[in-house]
Amino acid sequence: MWKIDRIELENFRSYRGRHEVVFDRVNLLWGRVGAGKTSLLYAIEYALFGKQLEVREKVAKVVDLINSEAHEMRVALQLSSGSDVLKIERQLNKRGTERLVVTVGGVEYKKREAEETLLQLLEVDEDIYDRLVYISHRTLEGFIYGTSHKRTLSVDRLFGIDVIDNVISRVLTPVMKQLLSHAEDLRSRLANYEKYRDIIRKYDSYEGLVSRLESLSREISELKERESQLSRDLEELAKRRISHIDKIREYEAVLLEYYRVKIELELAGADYVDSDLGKVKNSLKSVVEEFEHFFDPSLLERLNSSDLDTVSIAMVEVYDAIEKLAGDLELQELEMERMYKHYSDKLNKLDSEIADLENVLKKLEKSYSRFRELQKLYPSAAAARLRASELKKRLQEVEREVAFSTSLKTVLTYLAESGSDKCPICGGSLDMEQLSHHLRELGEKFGKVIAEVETLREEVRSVENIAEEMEALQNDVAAYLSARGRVEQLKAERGEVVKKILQAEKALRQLERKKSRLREILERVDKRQISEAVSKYRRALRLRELQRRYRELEIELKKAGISSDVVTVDMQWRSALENLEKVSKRITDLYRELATLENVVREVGGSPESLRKTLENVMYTYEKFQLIKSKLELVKVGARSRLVRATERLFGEIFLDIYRYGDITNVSVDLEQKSGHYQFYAISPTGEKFGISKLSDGQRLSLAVALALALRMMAATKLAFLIFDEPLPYVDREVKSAFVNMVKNLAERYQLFLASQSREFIDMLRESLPAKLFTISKRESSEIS
Amino acid sequence: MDIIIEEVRKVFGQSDLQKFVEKLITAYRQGGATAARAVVVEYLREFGINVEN
Repeated sequence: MWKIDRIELENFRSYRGRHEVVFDRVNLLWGRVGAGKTSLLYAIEYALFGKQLEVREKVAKVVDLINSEAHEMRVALQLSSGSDVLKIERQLNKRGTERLVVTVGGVEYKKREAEETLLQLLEVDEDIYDRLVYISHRTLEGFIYGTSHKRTLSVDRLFGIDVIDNVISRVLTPVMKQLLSHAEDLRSRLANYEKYRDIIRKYDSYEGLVSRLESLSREISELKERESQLSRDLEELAKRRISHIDKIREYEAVLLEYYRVKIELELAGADYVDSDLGKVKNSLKSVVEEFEHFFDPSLLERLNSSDLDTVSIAMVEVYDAIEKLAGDLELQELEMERMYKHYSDKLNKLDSEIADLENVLKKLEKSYSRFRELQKLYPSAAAARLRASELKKRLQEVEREVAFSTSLKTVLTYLAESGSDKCPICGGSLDMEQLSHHLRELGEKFGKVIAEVETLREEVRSVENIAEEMEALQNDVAAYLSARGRVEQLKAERGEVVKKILQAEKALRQLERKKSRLREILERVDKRQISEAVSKYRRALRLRELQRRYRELEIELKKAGISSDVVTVDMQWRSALENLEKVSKRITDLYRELATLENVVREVGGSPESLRKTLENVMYTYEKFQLIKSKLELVKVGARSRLVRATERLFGEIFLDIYRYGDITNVSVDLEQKSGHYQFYAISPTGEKFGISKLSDGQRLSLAVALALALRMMAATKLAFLIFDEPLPYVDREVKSAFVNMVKNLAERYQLFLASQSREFIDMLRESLPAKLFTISKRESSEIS
Repeated sequence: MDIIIEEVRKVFGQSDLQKFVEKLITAYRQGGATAARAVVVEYLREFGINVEN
């Protein structure tokens, strides 16, 4: 465990020059406010860590530790642990360059290695040092006199939990306020964007506006240079012009006209001829003549006019009419092409239909021919049927005759064979000879009738067959005749269509010729050429007029005695003046634009997309910070609870070690559920439990110190000293007395450094225990004696 | 043993927010409010937010 043997200061804070202090076991520093007690204690912290609390919290810069009248400072601290000696020497100059040398066991370490060696040996960082080694009245007073809340803050400070409150209150809360303000600002900027939308739109976008703003400054700067140059030129020319001012004023009107004419002539450049106009006009005329039916008859007359305006208008009208005609022809051609296509399609369709019908005719041809052959016998199936019917009737008659003859023959044969002389039917007498005669006759007649029956039967079959065949062929014949009629009709129609196609082809060729002619003209001439030709012609006329006037004015000025040098100077002066006015006006305009754009940039400050995105991010991070804040409260409660549990036993032991009056046998600490505040209790020998409000200031002081020491032991540093910087500045004697008694006990454990402005307190301490007194005084600089 | 950092890890879990809070507390311990604020400023800058002024 390292205790401090000595310290050397050179130009540290209020200490000017070199000062060396050798310390004892208990060291009392006494001096008035501002004498340099704290500076001496700060020097120890600086030697150990290269900074101290105020520097760390940016209340002061590290170079502020250098005495105001010096350029560099030096602090050398010597510590020992048994026989080991540790020397730390830090030098710092105003530029902030620090030199650190750490010597331990005869080995020297520098820079980073030296810092690491220190941390390794002492096992303490600045945070633990400031909380648990360097104890000031802020730590103790809050504990002794504060409310429950203040005491909790003091304990949090000892525990190092105050870092959470500090992060919340000193970092997150102010940043969150800034975020809300930033969000408000962004909303206002978005509203301003709407306000300036029309202006921004002129530059395409906000980025365009910013780009214009940048170029504006350059442009203004260039124009201002030009303005200065023009002012100098104008001044020089004015000096030369002044000697001829009377003459110039007298002939000012002539001069002004002369300048105007001269400038116009110079601008006009080369002499113009009207050949272009003639060419264009002739081309247009040829079209008007060729397509005379399509144009207004007056156009040709106007094209031949001697008045340039009339010709110019007529040319434009002709050109427009040509364009219109070309357009009409285009439409007609389209219509004709449509017709041509329509008839071509129709022809194809007709050819296809005719071919189909001819195939049908070919298939039916045989049936039709057969029918025609049959028709030679009978004109129709009905006629054949009628003939068949007649033949059947005759057949029936002949068959009846055959039946009669057969019966008669049977009777006659019977009579002849029976030899009877009387008729068995009527009883009349019979003549055999006559009977034989009749039999012969009947036999002859019967044979003829039988032959006729056969013939008729054959004839009936034949006619019926013909009728049947004709009936069977009737449908094919009808189809054949219908197809043949349709083919004839279609062929007639085809002839008409072919005629139309030929007409359309002819019309298309004619339209193409006309179009081609007009296209040729339109390719050769356009409105711009007409306008240019007219304009050129007009300029040529104007030029001739100007040249004539210029010569007249030259003669007039010569007669007036105004030389060309005077004219040149005056002209240059006027030109410079005009340019200067233009430049000045331009600069004014640009400044106005600049002011507007600067205003937009100031009030909008970004594209709406970027502003909206930033606003979203601002609100997102704000919510994140809110979440962090609420979770940090949980962290705080959790850390309090764990630290209380961790320190409880040690806290009790240390308290009883430094508080030896016997009226308190134990102490404990707990967390109040609702508020999360620490609750300290003392337990009497009878087992009674007292809250802190029932304890005296001295008992509370012992509690605070016991807690700090318990934490310090837990932190396990290798430092053997404890510093009290003005621990009890405004307390009564009773508390001081309690503190003195406690210090007596602490001195058994630690090397002590105690600084106070109270002589009474210091004397009380000196009376109670052996201590080395250092009196700190200050005149021009702090002194130690 | 750093109880506060352990509690931060417990409450925030393994997350970017936990890393950020740890960084914030460490910075505050080492350099006070200014150092911690620098951590916040850096964090916000990642979102395109400038609160330096």
